[in-house]
Amino acid sequence: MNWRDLFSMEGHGAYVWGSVGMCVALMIAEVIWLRQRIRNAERRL
Amino acid sequence: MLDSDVAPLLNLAPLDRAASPARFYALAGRLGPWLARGALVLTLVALAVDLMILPAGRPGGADRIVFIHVPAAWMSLLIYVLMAGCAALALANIRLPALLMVALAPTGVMFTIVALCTGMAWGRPNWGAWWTWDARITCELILFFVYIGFLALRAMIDDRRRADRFSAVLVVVGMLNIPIIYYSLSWWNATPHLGVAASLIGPAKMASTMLGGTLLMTFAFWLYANAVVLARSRVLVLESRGGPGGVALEGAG
Repeated sequence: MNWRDLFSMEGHGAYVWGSVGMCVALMIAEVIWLRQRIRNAERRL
Repeated sequence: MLDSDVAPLLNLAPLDRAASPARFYALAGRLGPWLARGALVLTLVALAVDLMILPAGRPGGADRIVFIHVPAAWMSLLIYVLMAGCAALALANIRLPALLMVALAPTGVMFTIVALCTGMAWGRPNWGAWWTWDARITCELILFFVYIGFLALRAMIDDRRRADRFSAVLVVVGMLNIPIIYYSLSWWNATPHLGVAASLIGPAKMASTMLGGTLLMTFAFWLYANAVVLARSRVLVLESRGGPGGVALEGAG
């Protein structure tokens, strides 16, 4: 596997990896927010 | 909301008792962890296949964004359609659909944001612009505002039963946008989306390799959405019992 080609994505690496990073970050943020809500709800009960 | 003359014809109380939030709470607790594990594994596999394994050249460069953009857009529409189905049942005073309607919304917002932002990231290198007022893009932006409007409306109404009803009406009315998004390519010919979109009916315009990679990521997103929505449903049940949030858990009868 050519890592340089993988990261450059024919010169569009910033767009591709930026999109992947944003999607993963939003999914992780949603999970973290949800876990915080679960803890708060259990603490209230 | 049911007229007293209509209510005896639509005796939904047995359905409401069978699909109780308490019973769903236990089921969601058992299914959730498995869905979460499946989602994590499949998302990593899909990313590896779509970004590394599929041959270079076609899809090349920025076209790889399609493997995230299209599944996210599909999920944003699918989640809204599910919300609308739940909203219709919630208006008939069935509790579980009201719960699911609220649980689905934040994940729908998330996928809509991903669809819009990845669309911009794809559009810049391919069309030379971050944004165009293309019919499909504009309607997806409207969908985002409808999702936000749903959450804002619920936040403004303290009474849970009224919040459930008014927000359900908003979701049902907002369903008008979904067929417009889907048929926008047929109705408005001057749109950059033409030629690159996959169609559920008729021949796919995507190459088979791209379509396969897209479907793999779509299924990963679907598992993720199921896991997150089930977990949020459990949180809503807890919040409805012990705090100001959640949904109205009082039964129909």
